[in-house]
Amino acid sequence: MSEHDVAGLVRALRQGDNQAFNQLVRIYQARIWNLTRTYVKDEEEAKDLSQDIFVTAYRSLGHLRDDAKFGAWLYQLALNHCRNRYKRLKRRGFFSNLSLDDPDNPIPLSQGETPERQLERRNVNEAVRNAIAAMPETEKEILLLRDLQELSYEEISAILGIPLGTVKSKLNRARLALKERLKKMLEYQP
Amino acid sequence: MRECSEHQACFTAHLDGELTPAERHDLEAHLASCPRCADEWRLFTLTLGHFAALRHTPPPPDLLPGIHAKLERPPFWARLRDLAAGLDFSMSLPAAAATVAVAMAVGFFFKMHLQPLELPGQVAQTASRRAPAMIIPDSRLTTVNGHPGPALPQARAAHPPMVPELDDLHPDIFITVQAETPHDLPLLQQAMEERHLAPYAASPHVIRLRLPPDDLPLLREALGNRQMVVFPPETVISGYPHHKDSLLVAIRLQ
Repeated sequence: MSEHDVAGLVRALRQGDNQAFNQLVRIYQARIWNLTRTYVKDEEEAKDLSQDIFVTAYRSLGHLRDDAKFGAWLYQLALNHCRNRYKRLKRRGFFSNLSLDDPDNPIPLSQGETPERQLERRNVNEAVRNAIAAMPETEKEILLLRDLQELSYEEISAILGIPLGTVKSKLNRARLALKERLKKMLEYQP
Repeated sequence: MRECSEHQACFTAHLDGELTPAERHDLEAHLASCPRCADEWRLFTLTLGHFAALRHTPPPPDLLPGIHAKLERPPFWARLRDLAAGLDFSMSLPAAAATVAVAMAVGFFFKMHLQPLELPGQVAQTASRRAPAMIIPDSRLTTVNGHPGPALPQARAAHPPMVPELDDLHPDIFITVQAETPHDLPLLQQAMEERHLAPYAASPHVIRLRLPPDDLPLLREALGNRQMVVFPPETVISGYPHHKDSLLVAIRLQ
């Protein structure tokens, strides 16, 4: 769906068409869900967070200046919600069992366990999510926006409000850091 | 010749097709000749390949109904406002009067029955501050109220300036005597002179004298059976004070 179509739906929503809102949710729900799911890792938290993001978008639509930029605006809103929720969960010790906060520590193998068995036991996607969640905030967000949401460098630069060159350099650093974190697991993959 | 780390810094640009043909050729040539960088490149692409699986995770089916349910609930600030609006802060006049009466009764009870507690040290200090009010019926110099009094310097500091004309005298011993007749001062002065003490009237109500500690028993004799308060109370200890050759005594009649 093009920016033009999205802008039309936003206009309709402004005029009180709630079906337009449902349509917008259907367009963006998978992307927002994947973003929150990877950001906070927990499914229930991610669901609650995704719902909160859309509720906030509905209630604060008046702050959106350009209807065609709804997608970028929604991502900004989503990242703000994600950051706040992540901080709150971290304060509560939600992520304390992961030991992934140290970027120099790759995901460890359990003692006496072969990598193959560990791969069987652990869900690879979860391991990747855990590794992403433990990354520094900006690098994590650039990685999610580029490699999960497949946004362009320009879009990422606009959403995060950082220069294009910074997006590129931080993205490379984030990708290399993620590779290092997942190295042991990946080395044993066929 | 570029370092391996420099080549690895180009991985993202290479993956995203951002390298110039020359840069791409340079990197590919390096990857073909450097097994370490080739392995890093393999892991790099493998890592990013996992995003495809994450990307296609379908959202939960109840996401949209949940959004509608949350939208139907008023926002937090609106709920708070409604809650505040629902509270009734008004009160009838009898209820208000009863509340004030109960509060006053409770305050009165606490004032009458719950005096502030004093620690043992505070009791001694309080006693020394109140020393002039303590009338000792016995003519002997004794301790005040059974408590050991403070040491002499502290006693001086704690002593209230009861007699303005004594402020600059700093007596070692201060005695307040209950006068029985208007002529008590000359009689007392005479009793002292008879015992070879050398008193002199510092004011119409105050006698001052200097004497060695050994002459304290003579002073007691001169004071007779009058009611008095002695400060500091340690004066009654035999040989008080050990470190002084002479004592300045101030006696005030009241």
